[in-house]
Amino acid sequence: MDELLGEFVAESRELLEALETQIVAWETDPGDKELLDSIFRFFHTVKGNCGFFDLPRLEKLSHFAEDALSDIRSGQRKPDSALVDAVLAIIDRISEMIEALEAGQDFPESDDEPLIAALEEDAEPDAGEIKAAVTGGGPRIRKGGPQRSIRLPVELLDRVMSGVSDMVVARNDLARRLHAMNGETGLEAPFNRLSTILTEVRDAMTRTRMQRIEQLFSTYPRVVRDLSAELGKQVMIELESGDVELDREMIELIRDPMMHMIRNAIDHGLETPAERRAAGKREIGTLSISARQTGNEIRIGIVDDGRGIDADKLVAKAIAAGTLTQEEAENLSPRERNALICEAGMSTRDQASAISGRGVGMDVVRANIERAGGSLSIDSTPGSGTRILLNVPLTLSIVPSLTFSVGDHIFAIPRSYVDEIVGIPEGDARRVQLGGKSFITIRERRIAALPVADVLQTAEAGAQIGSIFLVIRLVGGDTFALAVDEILNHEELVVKPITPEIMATGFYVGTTQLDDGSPVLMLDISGLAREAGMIQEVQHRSYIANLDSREVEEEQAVPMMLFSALDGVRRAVAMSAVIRVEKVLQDKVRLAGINSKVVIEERILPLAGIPEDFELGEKLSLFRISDGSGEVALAFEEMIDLVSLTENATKASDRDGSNALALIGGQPTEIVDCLALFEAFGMEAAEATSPVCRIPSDDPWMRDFLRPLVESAGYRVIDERAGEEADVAIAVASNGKSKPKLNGAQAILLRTAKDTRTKNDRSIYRYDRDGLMAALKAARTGS
Amino acid sequence: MGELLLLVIIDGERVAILASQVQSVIDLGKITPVPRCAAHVAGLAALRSQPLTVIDCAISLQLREERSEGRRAVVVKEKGHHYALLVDAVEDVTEGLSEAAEITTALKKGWRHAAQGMIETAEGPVLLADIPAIIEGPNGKPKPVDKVAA
Repeated sequence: MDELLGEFVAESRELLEALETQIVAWETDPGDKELLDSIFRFFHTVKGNCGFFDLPRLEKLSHFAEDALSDIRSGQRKPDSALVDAVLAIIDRISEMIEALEAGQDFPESDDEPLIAALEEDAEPDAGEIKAAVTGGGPRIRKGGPQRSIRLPVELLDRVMSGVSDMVVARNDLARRLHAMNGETGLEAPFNRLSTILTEVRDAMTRTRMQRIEQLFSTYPRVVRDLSAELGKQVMIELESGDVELDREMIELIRDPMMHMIRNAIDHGLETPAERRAAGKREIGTLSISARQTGNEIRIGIVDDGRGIDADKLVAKAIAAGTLTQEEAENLSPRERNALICEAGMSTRDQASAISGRGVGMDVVRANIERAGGSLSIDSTPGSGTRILLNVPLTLSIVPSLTFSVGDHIFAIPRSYVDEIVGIPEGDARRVQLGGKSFITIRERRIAALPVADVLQTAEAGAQIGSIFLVIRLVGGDTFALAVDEILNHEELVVKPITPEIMATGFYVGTTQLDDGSPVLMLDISGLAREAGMIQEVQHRSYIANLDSREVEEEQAVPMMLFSALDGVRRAVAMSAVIRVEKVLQDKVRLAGINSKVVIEERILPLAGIPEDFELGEKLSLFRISDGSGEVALAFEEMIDLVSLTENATKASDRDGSNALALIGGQPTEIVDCLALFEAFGMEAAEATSPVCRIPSDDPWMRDFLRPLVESAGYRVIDERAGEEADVAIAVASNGKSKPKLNGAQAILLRTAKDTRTKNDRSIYRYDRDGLMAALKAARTGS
Repeated sequence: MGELLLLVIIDGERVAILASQVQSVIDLGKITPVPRCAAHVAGLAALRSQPLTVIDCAISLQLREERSEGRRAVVVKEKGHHYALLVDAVEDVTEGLSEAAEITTALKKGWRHAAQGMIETAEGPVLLADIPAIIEGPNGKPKPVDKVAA
């Protein structure tokens, strides 16, 4: 069964089960508004969900039932027993269908029309028929489908989880004691085994609770696509999950509200292409959904650039409905006016569509969010868009964190805030003191530095501030540096809420435990910054910045090769500089410190990255790094990963020798400065004599498959974008627009289809190795 | 039958805490101080994986200014959070022989808002501590006290 469908079935079943008692109560008191509301919501949810699946029968049934109940809710119709019967019959039919779905069978053959007809206000249904439908196939028997998962109470998981945490603390205690006995207890091996198992169990347990919010977000593109198609709108969705991990339970709690809000945004918020054109906007509406961890909350933003909320209409409606008096209305703030949309029975749409707009939804959304301890704020500018911020607490979430020390204190901060880590020693010209405030200069940018010890008053006034600076970038783009003494670790920490007394300081968002069980406080970055007067109003700034945050996020990412060097340091080198990764045998290497050399393909290359006292093993791994004319080999221990890094974090190191550090995968990583490398080693680098071939670099196939082939033909490969002269250029012909830039180079065209399209087509099928080699050879010899 | 009381010593004086409110009595290990927090919050400690906010009762009651040396603490749960109340010593569990009676005389400043009343025990009369008030500390909202004026 499709996973989404499975979720739909599970959800509907849960709703049905919850509804069972309410139905009985409703039967006896059809006028009860709350019961009516919850039954109404059931249909609304089912209807909304089946829109995504191809379930027209279910959708139709729930749509009509919803219509009838909507009339009752608005007071246009009085509930009578005939209607109650009809609604119950529909619930039963839906329940049968859901069971069929779950079992993977076809829907039971039956005619829905009588059920729908029975909903009609003046229908005089054949009572017998409806009753027959109600009691349908006798007592319902649940045919349990194949079980793929079980549902557990979260409380039970919590208990196991805290038990495991306790075990870890006990384990660490034991480890310390064993260590104190200098490994002579004979218990080390079994202890290590136990320890490994425990770590695994803990990881598994943690995972059972945590889910990446991405998993929730990943269903949205499809939803948005279907919805917009149905409503005749053009919507582009932007998702940014920010690597946020959220408690599974929390994700479940926000799942429905999110869906409702997305539906609302597309149905009500965004205009049709024609309307947008008329309003002078792009025809394609944008819906961006982002998740960020800010302080002790996960903030989810749903932003559309549609028509905004008509707050006046909301107020008028609320007054008409009697939920608001004229005087009260006048005293509302814009946010409060927008918040009226969350009152039950409010909708600014006069006409309901099949998707939403019955005034159910936002009230349910708010109720669900508040139940989760979260909050909702709505900002809207009529004509230009709506921004809904959903704040859900971080009751139990794992935060990738950086721990550091300041004096005797240890603190943690969420890693996501840290842009860069720089060490600038005391007395360095890049540190200045202006008007009692510290500033540091990084790449010609002056950044205010905030000694943690000063803000938290942990040190005597005038004491030295730390010399490690964490460059912090706040959501709004405000940048400042935190001065700390020492970076201790990067780790995933389980952050737990702190008590109101500690919260009141405004400097902390939570507490967490290190491996030895000692508590550590998680700092509230915005709180620190505000206290130090670094920013006027974090909230406000971040709001403004968020509206045009797109520019910021499009910062160019540079692919980097992450590796551990022979001296054990994590380093990264720009992919564009690396032309090849090689393994050479011992006898090709001559070690002589800075003058080390390696023989590759009959050429002698300078060899960098050899630490002092290095002993050569059987083989040596190295990168061949090219600056376009010369080559240097850089030895390494192990390749770790390919990563992308934003441009400004990878700028070359300062001339005074302090290495540029970037946070990659949370670990401080030195960036290899290729310029400096060539300056130091590249002097006598052999002139490039091989012919040059240019290939498009943005095509992974080209890069990964074609490049080695071309190189094996004796060519040096350069990037399409490089300005350098090339002897040969290769491009994919079928691509249409990508004609190779010739610049006097011979062109080799590749095609993706095996057979040629036209007689004159001289392109080569891209897997025709022999053909390609022949062409390359021909180009080299100039024939 | 009176309620069970845990008798503790705070700044040399015997004080009663309702035993039903007490989760456990522990000796705290390392306390992580919380810079710039109210003085009566001694810091954070952990009971296994459970974080505890450590409250120095003597400071909260304005009986002392310097931090208590002892490590003996009473663990209570208040509004979903766990607290460790640092006391000088924990004596015994005893049975309250009376209902908590109103206190008619003016107590020392810190106790005014933190005492629920006086209770008779086999050990003599003791003050019944108001846990939320002690946690809140001297700057918490004062209770509406009308007796003190007299």
